Amino acid sequence: MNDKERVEMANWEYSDLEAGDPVTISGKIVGYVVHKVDDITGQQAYIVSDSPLPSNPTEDQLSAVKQVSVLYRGSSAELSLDALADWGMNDLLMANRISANMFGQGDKVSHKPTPQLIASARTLHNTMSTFPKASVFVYGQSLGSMDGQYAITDLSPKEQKRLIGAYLYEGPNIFPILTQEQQANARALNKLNKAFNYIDTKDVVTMGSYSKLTLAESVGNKVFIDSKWIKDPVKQHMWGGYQYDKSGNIIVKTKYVSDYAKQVTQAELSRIEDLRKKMSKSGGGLSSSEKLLLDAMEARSVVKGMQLIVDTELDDLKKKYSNAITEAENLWRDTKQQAAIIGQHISSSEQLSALSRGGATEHNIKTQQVNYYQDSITEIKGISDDYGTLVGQITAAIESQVSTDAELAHEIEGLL
Amino acid sequence: MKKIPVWGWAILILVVIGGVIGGTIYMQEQKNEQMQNEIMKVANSKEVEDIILSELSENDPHHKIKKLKILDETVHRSPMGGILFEGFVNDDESLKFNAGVNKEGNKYVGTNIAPKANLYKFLGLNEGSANE
Repeated sequence: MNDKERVEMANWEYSDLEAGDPVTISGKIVGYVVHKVDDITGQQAYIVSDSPLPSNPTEDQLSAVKQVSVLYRGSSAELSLDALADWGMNDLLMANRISANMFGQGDKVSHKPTPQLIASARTLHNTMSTFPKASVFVYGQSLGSMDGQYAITDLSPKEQKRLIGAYLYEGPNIFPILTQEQQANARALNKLNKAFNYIDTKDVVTMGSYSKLTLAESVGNKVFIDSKWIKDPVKQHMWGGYQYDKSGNIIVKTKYVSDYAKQVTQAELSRIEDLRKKMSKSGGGLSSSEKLLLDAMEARSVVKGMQLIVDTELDDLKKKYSNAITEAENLWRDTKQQAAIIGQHISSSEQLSALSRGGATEHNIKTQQVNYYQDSITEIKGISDDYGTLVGQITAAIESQVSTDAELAHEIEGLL
Repeated sequence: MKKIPVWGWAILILVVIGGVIGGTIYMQEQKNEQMQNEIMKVANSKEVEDIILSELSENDPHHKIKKLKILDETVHRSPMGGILFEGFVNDDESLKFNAGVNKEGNKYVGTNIAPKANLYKFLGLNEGSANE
Protein backbone atom coordinates (compact mmCIF):
# COMPACT_ATOMS: atom_id res chain seq x y z
CA MET A 1 0.00 0.00 0.00
CA ASN A 2 1.21 3.51 -0.70
CA ASP A 3 0.43 6.64 1.32
CA LYS A 4 -2.58 7.53 -0.80
CA GLU A 5 -4.10 4.09 -0.35
CA ARG A 6 -3.51 4.26 3.40
CA VAL A 7 -5.32 7.59 3.59
CA GLU A 8 -8.26 6.01 1.73
CA MET A 9 -8.21 3.18 4.26
CA ALA A 10 -8.19 5.66 7.17
CA ASN A 11 -10.96 7.66 5.51
CA TRP A 12 -13.29 4.64 5.88
CA GLU A 13 -13.58 5.75 9.52
CA TYR A 14 -15.91 8.46 8.36
CA SER A 15 -18.21 6.24 6.26
CA ASP A 16 -21.22 4.61 7.86
CA LEU A 17 -20.32 0.93 8.00
CA GLU A 18 -22.00 -2.14 9.51
CA ALA A 19 -20.62 -5.60 10.21
CA GLY A 20 -20.32 -7.47 6.91
CA ASP A 21 -19.77 -4.39 4.74
CA PRO A 22 -16.82 -4.67 2.36
CA VAL A 23 -14.07 -2.07 2.50
CA THR A 24 -12.26 -1.11 -0.71
CA ILE A 25 -9.21 0.75 -1.89
CA SER A 26 -9.52 2.21 -5.40
CA GLY A 27 -12.62 0.05 -5.83
CA LYS A 28 -10.81 -3.20 -4.99
CA ILE A 29 -12.14 -5.06 -1.94
CA VAL A 30 -9.41 -5.29 0.70
CA GLY A 31 -11.42 -6.26 3.77
CA TYR A 32 -14.73 -6.69 5.54
CA VAL A 33 -16.05 -4.98 8.66
CA VAL A 34 -16.26 -7.64 11.36
CA HIS A 35 -17.12 -5.41 14.29
CA LYS A 36 -18.28 -1.88 14.96
CA VAL A 37 -17.33 -0.23 18.25
CA ASP A 38 -19.52 2.62 19.47
CA ASP A 39 -19.40 3.11 23.23
CA ILE A 40 -20.38 5.68 25.85
CA THR A 41 -16.86 7.12 26.03
CA GLY A 42 -17.40 8.41 22.47
CA GLN A 43 -15.06 5.84 21.01
CA GLN A 44 -16.05 4.77 17.50
CA ALA A 45 -13.99 2.22 15.66
CA TYR A 46 -14.25 -0.40 12.94
CA ILE A 47 -12.45 -3.72 13.02
CA VAL A 48 -11.75 -4.89 9.47
CA SER A 49 -10.50 -8.37 8.56
CA ASP A 50 -9.00 -9.46 5.25
CA SER A 51 -11.56 -12.24 4.77
CA PRO A 52 -15.34 -12.25 5.29
CA LEU A 53 -16.59 -13.88 8.50
CA PRO A 54 -20.04 -15.26 9.35
CA SER A 55 -21.89 -13.54 12.20
CA ASN A 56 -20.94 -16.29 14.66
CA PRO A 57 -17.44 -17.30 13.64
CA THR A 58 -15.81 -20.40 15.12
CA GLU A 59 -12.43 -20.22 16.79
CA ASP A 60 -10.87 -21.85 13.75
CA GLN A 61 -12.33 -19.17 11.50
CA LEU A 62 -10.98 -16.44 13.78
CA SER A 63 -7.55 -18.04 13.84
CA ALA A 64 -7.56 -18.25 10.05
CA VAL A 65 -7.70 -14.46 9.72
CA LYS A 66 -4.26 -13.27 8.64
CA GLN A 67 -4.71 -9.53 8.77
CA VAL A 68 -6.92 -7.11 10.71
CA SER A 69 -7.08 -3.35 10.75
CA VAL A 70 -8.47 -1.17 13.51
CA LEU A 71 -9.84 2.16 12.28
CA TYR A 72 -10.40 4.79 14.98
CA ARG A 73 -12.81 7.56 14.08
CA GLY A 74 -12.05 11.18 14.93
CA SER A 75 -14.40 13.86 16.18
CA SER A 76 -17.74 13.81 14.42
CA ALA A 77 -18.16 16.76 12.14
CA GLU A 78 -21.80 17.45 12.86
CA LEU A 79 -23.15 18.47 16.22
CA SER A 80 -24.54 15.31 17.70
CA LEU A 81 -24.35 13.46 20.99
CA ASP A 82 -21.17 11.82 19.75
CA ALA A 83 -19.65 15.17 18.92
CA LEU A 84 -20.58 16.43 22.35
CA ALA A 85 -18.97 13.40 23.96
CA ASP A 86 -15.90 13.85 21.75
CA TRP A 87 -15.41 17.55 22.18
CA GLY A 88 -16.76 17.99 25.66
CA MET A 89 -15.13 15.09 27.38
CA ASN A 90 -12.17 14.19 25.27
CA ASP A 91 -10.79 16.93 23.09
CA LEU A 92 -11.18 19.68 25.66
CA LEU A 93 -9.79 17.59 28.51
CA MET A 94 -6.90 16.44 26.37
CA ALA A 95 -6.30 19.92 25.00
CA ASN A 96 -6.04 21.19 28.55
CA ARG A 97 -3.60 18.47 29.56
CA ILE A 98 -1.50 18.70 26.44
CA SER A 99 -1.34 22.49 26.49
CA ALA A 100 -0.42 22.47 30.18
CA ASN A 101 2.48 20.23 29.25
CA MET A 102 3.45 22.55 26.40
CA PHE A 103 3.67 25.49 28.74
CA GLY A 104 5.59 23.64 31.41
CA GLN A 105 2.70 23.32 33.86
CA GLY A 106 2.42 19.61 33.43
CA ASP A 107 2.40 18.84 37.14
CA LYS A 108 -0.64 21.01 37.78
CA VAL A 109 -3.08 18.97 35.71
CA SER A 110 -4.00 15.34 35.91
CA HIS A 111 -1.93 13.05 33.71
CA LYS A 112 -4.65 10.46 33.58
CA PRO A 113 -5.84 9.57 30.10
CA THR A 114 -9.50 10.16 29.22
CA PRO A 115 -11.92 7.20 29.40
CA GLN A 116 -11.99 7.11 25.60
CA LEU A 117 -8.24 6.56 25.35
CA ILE A 118 -8.44 3.69 27.83
CA ALA A 119 -11.39 2.22 25.92
CA SER A 120 -9.50 2.46 22.64
CA ALA A 121 -6.55 0.58 24.16
CA ARG A 122 -9.01 -2.13 25.23
CA THR A 123 -10.33 -2.34 21.67
CA LEU A 124 -6.85 -3.04 20.31
CA HIS A 125 -6.06 -5.60 23.05
CA ASN A 126 -9.37 -7.37 22.33
CA THR A 127 -8.71 -7.38 18.59
CA MET A 128 -5.30 -8.96 19.18
CA SER A 129 -6.80 -11.74 21.31
CA THR A 130 -9.87 -12.32 19.10
CA PHE A 131 -7.67 -12.86 16.03
CA PRO A 132 -4.71 -14.66 17.59
CA LYS A 133 -2.81 -15.27 14.35
CA ALA A 134 -3.44 -11.99 12.56
CA SER A 135 -1.02 -9.20 11.76
CA VAL A 136 -2.50 -5.91 12.90
CA PHE A 137 -2.71 -2.45 11.35
CA VAL A 138 -4.00 0.68 13.10
CA TYR A 139 -5.41 3.81 11.46
CA GLY A 140 -6.81 7.00 12.98
CA GLN A 141 -7.28 10.68 12.36
CA SER A 142 -7.66 13.64 14.70
CA LEU A 143 -9.12 12.31 17.95
CA GLY A 144 -8.86 8.88 16.33
CA SER A 145 -5.12 9.46 15.99
CA MET A 146 -4.94 10.07 19.74
CA ASP A 147 -6.88 6.84 20.32
CA GLY A 148 -4.45 5.01 18.06
CA GLN A 149 -1.40 6.60 19.67
CA TYR A 150 -2.59 5.56 23.10
CA ALA A 151 -3.65 2.06 22.07
CA ILE A 152 -0.34 1.10 20.45
CA THR A 153 1.74 2.27 23.38
CA ASP A 154 -0.39 0.14 25.69
CA LEU A 155 0.51 -3.09 23.84
CA SER A 156 2.57 -5.74 25.58
CA PRO A 157 5.92 -6.63 23.96
CA LYS A 158 4.30 -9.78 22.57
CA GLU A 159 1.39 -7.82 21.09
CA GLN A 160 3.77 -5.18 19.75
CA LYS A 161 5.39 -7.82 17.56
CA ARG A 162 2.10 -8.44 15.79
CA LEU A 163 1.57 -4.75 15.07
CA ILE A 164 2.79 -4.25 11.52
CA GLY A 165 1.99 -0.59 11.08
CA ALA A 166 0.11 2.28 12.67
CA TYR A 167 -0.80 5.26 10.47
CA LEU A 168 -2.02 8.22 12.49
CA TYR A 169 -3.08 11.50 10.96
CA GLU A 170 -3.31 14.99 12.43
CA GLY A 171 -3.73 14.19 16.08
CA PRO A 172 -2.25 16.16 18.95
CA ASN A 173 0.84 14.66 20.56
CA ILE A 174 -0.15 12.53 23.55
CA PHE A 175 3.38 11.47 24.46
CA PRO A 176 3.55 13.74 27.54
CA ILE A 177 0.53 12.15 29.22
CA LEU A 178 1.77 8.56 28.87
CA THR A 179 3.17 6.52 31.74
CA GLN A 180 6.90 5.82 31.72
CA GLU A 181 6.27 2.30 30.54
CA GLN A 182 4.08 3.49 27.68
CA GLN A 183 6.67 6.09 26.73
CA ALA A 184 9.29 3.36 26.57
CA ASN A 185 6.94 1.35 24.32
CA ALA A 186 6.50 4.38 22.07
CA ARG A 187 10.27 4.76 21.74
CA ALA A 188 10.60 1.08 20.88
CA LEU A 189 7.90 1.34 18.20
CA ASN A 190 9.51 4.45 16.71
CA LYS A 191 12.86 2.69 16.53
CA LEU A 192 11.26 -0.17 14.62
CA ASN A 193 9.56 2.34 12.28
CA LYS A 194 6.23 0.70 12.98
CA ALA A 195 4.21 3.83 13.61
CA PHE A 196 3.93 7.00 11.56
CA ASN A 197 2.43 10.18 12.93
CA TYR A 198 1.44 12.51 10.07
CA ILE A 199 1.35 16.13 11.18
CA ASP A 200 -0.14 18.88 9.08
CA THR A 201 2.22 21.85 9.20
CA LYS A 202 -0.73 24.17 8.45
CA ASP A 203 -2.70 22.94 11.44
CA VAL A 204 -1.90 25.35 14.25
CA VAL A 205 -3.56 23.36 17.02
CA THR A 206 -1.81 20.09 16.23
CA MET A 207 1.51 21.69 15.40
CA GLY A 208 1.57 23.44 18.76
CA SER A 209 1.68 20.19 20.66
CA TYR A 210 4.72 19.13 18.63
CA SER A 211 6.54 22.38 19.43
CA LYS A 212 10.27 22.32 19.13
CA LEU A 213 9.27 20.17 16.16
CA THR A 214 11.94 17.59 15.61
CA LEU A 215 12.95 17.61 19.26
CA ALA A 216 9.64 16.74 20.89
CA GLU A 217 9.14 13.06 21.52
CA SER A 218 6.08 11.52 19.95
CA VAL A 219 4.18 8.32 19.46
CA GLY A 220 5.18 7.23 15.97
CA ASN A 221 7.79 8.83 13.75
CA LYS A 222 6.78 12.36 12.92
CA VAL A 223 6.02 13.11 9.27
CA PHE A 224 5.49 16.78 8.52
CA ILE A 225 3.15 16.95 5.58
CA ASP A 226 2.32 19.74 3.20
CA SER A 227 -1.46 19.80 2.99
CA LYS A 228 -3.72 21.70 0.64
CA TRP A 229 -6.03 23.15 3.22
CA ILE A 230 -5.91 25.80 5.87
CA LYS A 231 -7.35 24.67 9.17
CA ASP A 232 -9.28 27.79 9.88
CA PRO A 233 -12.79 27.26 11.25
CA VAL A 234 -13.96 30.43 9.52
CA LYS A 235 -12.22 29.94 6.18
CA GLN A 236 -13.37 26.36 5.74
CA HIS A 237 -12.31 24.94 2.44
CA MET A 238 -14.70 22.73 0.52
CA TRP A 239 -12.14 20.41 -0.94
CA GLY A 240 -8.73 19.75 0.30
CA GLY A 241 -6.65 17.43 2.25
CA TYR A 242 -3.47 15.66 1.42
CA GLN A 243 -1.30 16.07 -1.65
CA TYR A 244 0.50 13.19 -3.34
CA ASP A 245 3.21 12.77 -5.93
CA LYS A 246 2.64 10.61 -9.00
CA SER A 247 3.64 7.43 -7.15
CA GLY A 248 1.01 8.08 -4.46
CA ASN A 249 3.49 9.25 -1.82
CA ILE A 250 2.21 11.92 0.51
CA ILE A 251 3.97 15.25 -0.05
CA VAL A 252 6.27 15.79 2.90
CA LYS A 253 8.00 19.06 3.78
CA THR A 254 11.29 18.97 1.86
CA LYS A 255 13.27 19.52 5.04
CA TYR A 256 12.00 16.25 6.48
CA VAL A 257 11.68 14.03 3.42
CA SER A 258 15.02 12.24 3.71
CA ASP A 259 14.15 11.18 7.27
CA TYR A 260 10.76 9.96 6.13
CA ALA A 261 12.19 8.06 3.16
CA LYS A 262 14.74 6.43 5.46
CA GLN A 263 12.06 5.37 7.98
CA VAL A 264 9.67 4.04 5.34
CA THR A 265 12.47 2.08 3.67
CA GLN A 266 13.69 0.74 7.03
CA ALA A 267 10.16 -0.35 7.93
CA GLU A 268 9.81 -2.24 4.65
CA LEU A 269 13.24 -3.79 4.93
CA SER A 270 12.55 -5.08 8.42
CA ARG A 271 9.27 -6.62 7.24
CA ILE A 272 11.13 -8.32 4.40
CA GLU A 273 13.70 -9.49 6.94
CA ASP A 274 10.89 -11.02 9.04
CA LEU A 275 9.58 -12.72 5.92
CA ARG A 276 13.05 -14.05 5.16
CA LYS A 277 13.26 -15.55 8.67
CA LYS A 278 9.80 -17.05 8.36
CA MET A 279 10.57 -18.56 4.96
CA SER A 280 13.92 -19.90 6.13
CA LYS A 281 12.22 -21.70 9.00
CA SER A 282 9.57 -23.38 6.88
CA GLY A 283 10.44 -26.14 4.46
CA GLY A 284 14.20 -26.44 5.00
CA GLY A 285 15.74 -23.11 4.19
CA LEU A 286 15.30 -20.70 1.33
CA SER A 287 14.93 -21.96 -2.20
CA SER A 288 16.82 -20.02 -4.85
CA SER A 289 13.61 -18.49 -6.19
CA GLU A 290 12.57 -17.37 -2.70
CA LYS A 291 15.97 -15.79 -2.22
CA LEU A 292 15.64 -14.01 -5.54
CA LEU A 293 12.21 -12.74 -4.57
CA LEU A 294 13.37 -11.36 -1.23
CA ASP A 295 16.40 -9.70 -2.82
CA ALA A 296 14.19 -8.13 -5.46
CA MET A 297 11.83 -6.82 -2.79
CA GLU A 298 14.71 -5.31 -0.85
CA ALA A 299 16.06 -3.59 -3.95
CA ARG A 300 12.60 -2.28 -4.72
CA SER A 301 12.22 -0.73 -1.25
CA VAL A 302 15.55 1.03 -1.51
CA VAL A 303 14.89 2.42 -4.99
CA LYS A 304 11.42 3.56 -3.91
CA GLY A 305 12.96 5.44 -0.98
CA MET A 306 15.40 7.20 -3.28
CA GLN A 307 12.63 8.05 -5.72
CA LEU A 308 10.64 9.61 -2.89
CA ILE A 309 13.51 11.96 -2.08
CA VAL A 310 14.12 12.86 -5.72
CA ASP A 311 10.43 13.49 -6.37
CA THR A 312 10.06 15.80 -3.38
CA GLU A 313 13.19 17.72 -4.33
CA LEU A 314 11.87 17.88 -7.87
CA ASP A 315 8.59 19.44 -6.77
CA ASP A 316 10.47 21.93 -4.67
CA LEU A 317 12.86 22.83 -7.50
CA LYS A 318 9.98 23.18 -9.92
CA LYS A 319 8.37 25.72 -7.62
CA LYS A 320 11.64 27.61 -7.17
CA TYR A 321 12.45 27.53 -10.87
CA SER A 322 9.03 28.60 -12.03
CA ASN A 323 9.38 31.60 -9.70
CA ALA A 324 12.82 32.28 -11.14
CA ILE A 325 11.47 32.01 -14.67
CA THR A 326 8.74 34.55 -13.88
CA GLU A 327 11.38 36.80 -12.36
CA ALA A 328 13.59 36.57 -15.45
CA GLU A 329 10.62 37.39 -17.65
CA ASN A 330 9.66 40.32 -15.43
CA LEU A 331 13.23 41.57 -15.45
CA TRP A 332 13.31 41.63 -19.25
CA ARG A 333 9.92 43.36 -19.39
CA ASP A 334 11.05 45.99 -16.86
CA THR A 335 14.30 46.52 -18.76
CA LYS A 336 12.37 47.21 -21.93
CA GLN A 337 10.00 49.56 -20.13
CA GLN A 338 12.90 51.49 -18.60
CA ALA A 339 14.53 51.73 -22.01
CA ALA A 340 11.27 53.00 -23.48
CA ILE A 341 11.07 55.76 -20.86
CA ILE A 342 14.70 56.81 -21.18
CA GLY A 343 14.79 56.59 -24.96
CA GLN A 344 11.44 58.21 -25.63
CA HIS A 345 12.63 59.81 -28.85
CA ILE A 346 14.10 56.76 -30.53
CA SER A 347 12.34 53.79 -32.11
CA SER A 348 11.91 50.52 -30.23
CA SER A 349 14.47 48.73 -32.42
CA GLU A 350 16.96 51.48 -31.62
CA GLN A 351 16.17 51.01 -27.91
CA LEU A 352 16.88 47.29 -28.20
CA SER A 353 20.17 47.80 -29.98
CA ALA A 354 21.19 50.35 -27.38
CA LEU A 355 20.40 47.81 -24.68
CA SER A 356 22.34 45.08 -26.43
CA ARG A 357 25.40 47.32 -26.69
CA GLY A 358 25.31 47.37 -22.90
CA GLY A 359 25.02 43.56 -22.82
CA ALA A 360 21.28 43.52 -22.02
CA THR A 361 19.72 41.28 -24.64
CA GLU A 362 16.60 39.15 -24.38
CA HIS A 363 18.87 36.13 -24.73
CA ASN A 364 21.10 37.10 -21.79
CA ILE A 365 18.40 38.28 -19.44
CA LYS A 366 15.53 35.92 -20.20
CA THR A 367 16.11 33.07 -22.63
CA GLN A 368 19.40 31.86 -21.18
CA GLN A 369 18.05 31.77 -17.63
CA VAL A 370 14.82 30.07 -18.61
CA ASN A 371 16.67 27.46 -20.65
CA TYR A 372 19.05 26.75 -17.80
CA TYR A 373 16.21 26.19 -15.34
CA GLN A 374 14.24 24.07 -17.77
CA ASP A 375 17.26 21.89 -18.55
CA SER A 376 17.82 21.28 -14.84
CA ILE A 377 14.19 20.32 -14.30
CA THR A 378 14.30 17.95 -17.28
CA GLU A 379 17.45 16.34 -15.95
CA ILE A 380 16.05 15.69 -12.47
CA LYS A 381 12.76 14.55 -13.94
CA GLY A 382 14.76 12.06 -16.01
CA ILE A 383 16.35 10.66 -12.85
CA SER A 384 12.95 10.37 -11.16
CA ASP A 385 11.49 8.65 -14.24
CA ASP A 386 14.41 6.20 -14.31
CA TYR A 387 13.72 5.31 -10.68
CA GLY A 388 10.04 4.94 -11.51
CA THR A 389 10.77 2.61 -14.41
CA LEU A 390 13.11 0.56 -12.24
CA VAL A 391 10.49 0.21 -9.50
CA GLY A 392 7.95 -0.78 -12.16
CA GLN A 393 10.26 -3.42 -13.62
CA ILE A 394 11.11 -4.94 -10.25
CA THR A 395 7.43 -4.94 -9.25
CA ALA A 396 6.47 -6.68 -12.49
CA ALA A 397 9.19 -9.29 -11.97
CA ILE A 398 8.02 -9.93 -8.39
CA GLU A 399 4.39 -10.13 -9.48
CA SER A 400 5.11 -12.64 -12.21
CA GLN A 401 7.10 -14.71 -9.73
CA VAL A 402 4.26 -14.85 -7.19
CA SER A 403 1.44 -15.12 -9.74
CA THR A 404 1.53 -18.91 -9.53
CA ASP A 405 1.82 -19.04 -5.74
CA ALA A 406 -1.23 -17.70 -3.88
CA GLU A 407 0.30 -18.32 -0.44
CA LEU A 408 3.43 -16.37 -1.31
CA ALA A 409 1.35 -13.61 -2.90
CA HIS A 410 -0.61 -13.25 0.34
CA GLU A 411 2.59 -13.08 2.41
CA ILE A 412 3.93 -10.11 0.51
CA GLU A 413 0.57 -8.42 -0.07
CA GLY A 414 1.02 -5.34 2.04
CA LEU A 415 4.58 -4.86 0.82
CA LEU A 416 3.95 -4.15 -2.84
CA MET B 1 -29.72 64.96 29.69
CA LYS B 2 -30.58 62.06 31.92
CA LYS B 3 -27.69 59.74 32.63
CA ILE B 4 -28.08 56.14 31.51
CA PRO B 5 -28.00 53.96 34.65
CA VAL B 6 -25.41 51.17 35.00
CA TRP B 7 -27.98 48.44 34.35
CA GLY B 8 -28.89 50.29 31.20
CA TRP B 9 -25.32 50.01 29.96
CA ALA B 10 -25.22 46.38 31.01
CA ILE B 11 -28.35 45.60 28.98
CA LEU B 12 -27.01 47.56 26.02
CA ILE B 13 -23.71 45.63 26.09
CA LEU B 14 -25.56 42.34 26.44
CA VAL B 15 -27.75 43.20 23.47
CA VAL B 16 -24.70 44.08 21.37
CA ILE B 17 -22.84 40.89 22.39
CA GLY B 18 -25.98 38.83 21.78
CA GLY B 19 -26.35 40.45 18.37
CA VAL B 20 -22.76 39.71 17.42
CA ILE B 21 -22.99 36.08 18.55
CA GLY B 22 -26.37 35.62 16.89
CA GLY B 23 -25.12 37.22 13.72
CA THR B 24 -22.02 35.02 13.62
CA ILE B 25 -24.08 31.88 14.18
CA TYR B 26 -26.54 32.98 11.48
CA MET B 27 -23.71 33.67 9.00
CA GLN B 28 -22.09 30.33 9.83
CA GLU B 29 -25.38 28.52 9.31
CA GLN B 30 -25.91 30.28 6.00
CA LYS B 31 -22.43 29.24 4.97
CA ASN B 32 -22.98 25.66 6.11
CA GLU B 33 -26.25 25.50 4.21
CA GLN B 34 -24.58 26.88 1.10
CA MET B 35 -21.79 24.34 1.44
CA GLN B 36 -24.25 21.49 2.04
CA ASN B 37 -26.16 22.47 -1.13
CA GLU B 38 -22.96 22.56 -3.08
CA ILE B 39 -21.73 19.12 -2.00
CA MET B 40 -25.19 17.67 -2.60
CA LYS B 41 -25.05 19.01 -6.14
CA VAL B 42 -21.63 17.42 -6.63
CA ALA B 43 -22.80 14.06 -5.23
CA ASN B 44 -25.76 14.03 -7.62
CA SER B 45 -23.81 15.14 -10.69
CA LYS B 46 -23.48 13.04 -13.84
CA GLU B 47 -19.67 13.14 -13.54
CA VAL B 48 -19.75 11.61 -10.06
CA GLU B 49 -22.40 9.08 -11.09
CA ASP B 50 -20.08 7.82 -13.83
CA ILE B 51 -17.18 7.54 -11.37
CA ILE B 52 -19.28 5.50 -8.92
CA LEU B 53 -20.75 3.24 -11.62
CA SER B 54 -17.30 2.50 -12.98
CA GLU B 55 -15.80 1.67 -9.56
CA LEU B 56 -18.81 -0.39 -8.46
CA SER B 57 -18.63 -2.34 -11.72
CA GLU B 58 -15.27 -3.75 -10.59
CA ASN B 59 -17.22 -5.82 -8.08
CA ASP B 60 -20.15 -6.55 -10.39
CA PRO B 61 -19.07 -9.56 -12.45
CA HIS B 62 -22.64 -10.35 -13.61
CA HIS B 63 -23.44 -6.73 -14.58
CA LYS B 64 -26.41 -6.49 -12.27
CA ILE B 65 -26.13 -2.79 -11.44
CA LYS B 66 -28.37 -0.82 -13.80
CA LYS B 67 -28.69 2.58 -12.14
CA LEU B 68 -28.04 4.36 -8.89
CA LYS B 69 -29.51 6.98 -6.62
CA ILE B 70 -27.75 9.05 -3.95
CA LEU B 71 -29.28 9.37 -0.46
CA ASP B 72 -29.10 13.13 -0.01
CA GLU B 73 -29.35 13.01 3.78
CA THR B 74 -26.13 10.99 3.97
CA VAL B 75 -23.93 13.47 2.08
CA HIS B 76 -21.27 14.85 4.42
CA ARG B 77 -17.73 16.18 4.34
CA SER B 78 -14.94 13.97 5.56
CA PRO B 79 -12.53 15.56 8.02
CA MET B 80 -9.79 13.95 5.91
CA GLY B 81 -10.90 15.79 2.76
CA GLY B 82 -13.58 15.26 0.13
CA ILE B 83 -17.14 14.13 0.70
CA LEU B 84 -18.73 10.81 1.65
CA PHE B 85 -22.26 9.54 1.15
CA GLU B 86 -24.47 6.50 0.56
CA GLY B 87 -26.81 5.50 -2.20
CA PHE B 88 -28.66 2.51 -3.57
CA VAL B 89 -28.93 0.76 -6.92
CA ASN B 90 -31.76 -0.41 -9.20
CA ASP B 91 -34.44 1.52 -7.25
CA ASP B 92 -34.07 -0.95 -4.37
CA GLU B 93 -33.30 0.83 -1.10
CA SER B 94 -32.00 -2.38 0.46
CA LEU B 95 -29.15 -2.52 -2.08
CA LYS B 96 -26.95 0.20 -0.63
CA PHE B 97 -23.41 1.27 -1.39
CA ASN B 98 -20.88 3.57 0.22
CA ALA B 99 -19.23 6.21 -1.91
CA GLY B 100 -17.21 9.39 -1.86
CA VAL B 101 -15.33 11.82 -4.06
CA ASN B 102 -12.43 14.15 -3.66
CA LYS B 103 -10.93 16.70 -5.98
CA GLU B 104 -7.50 16.28 -7.56
CA GLY B 105 -6.63 19.36 -9.55
CA ASN B 106 -9.86 20.19 -11.35
CA LYS B 107 -11.06 16.62 -11.56
CA TYR B 108 -13.25 14.60 -9.25
CA VAL B 109 -11.85 11.24 -8.21
CA GLY B 110 -13.70 8.40 -6.51
CA THR B 111 -12.81 7.35 -2.99
CA ASN B 112 -14.22 4.81 -0.50
CA ILE B 113 -16.63 3.29 -3.03
CA ALA B 114 -17.90 -0.16 -2.03
CA PRO B 115 -21.12 -2.19 -2.03
CA LYS B 116 -22.61 -2.65 1.46
CA ALA B 117 -23.18 -6.20 2.74
CA ASN B 118 -26.59 -6.70 1.10
CA LEU B 119 -25.58 -5.39 -2.30
CA TYR B 120 -22.41 -7.48 -2.03
CA LYS B 121 -24.58 -10.60 -1.67
CA PHE B 122 -26.88 -9.45 -4.47
CA LEU B 123 -23.89 -9.10 -6.79
CA GLY B 124 -23.09 -12.75 -6.11
CA LEU B 125 -19.70 -11.98 -4.63
CA ASN B 126 -20.00 -14.25 -1.60
CA GLU B 127 -20.37 -17.37 -3.75
CA GLY B 128 -17.46 -19.71 -3.31
CA SER B 129 -16.20 -17.93 -0.22
CA ALA B 130 -14.46 -20.37 2.09
CA ASN B 131 -15.86 -18.79 5.22
CA GLU B 132 -19.53 -18.69 4.39
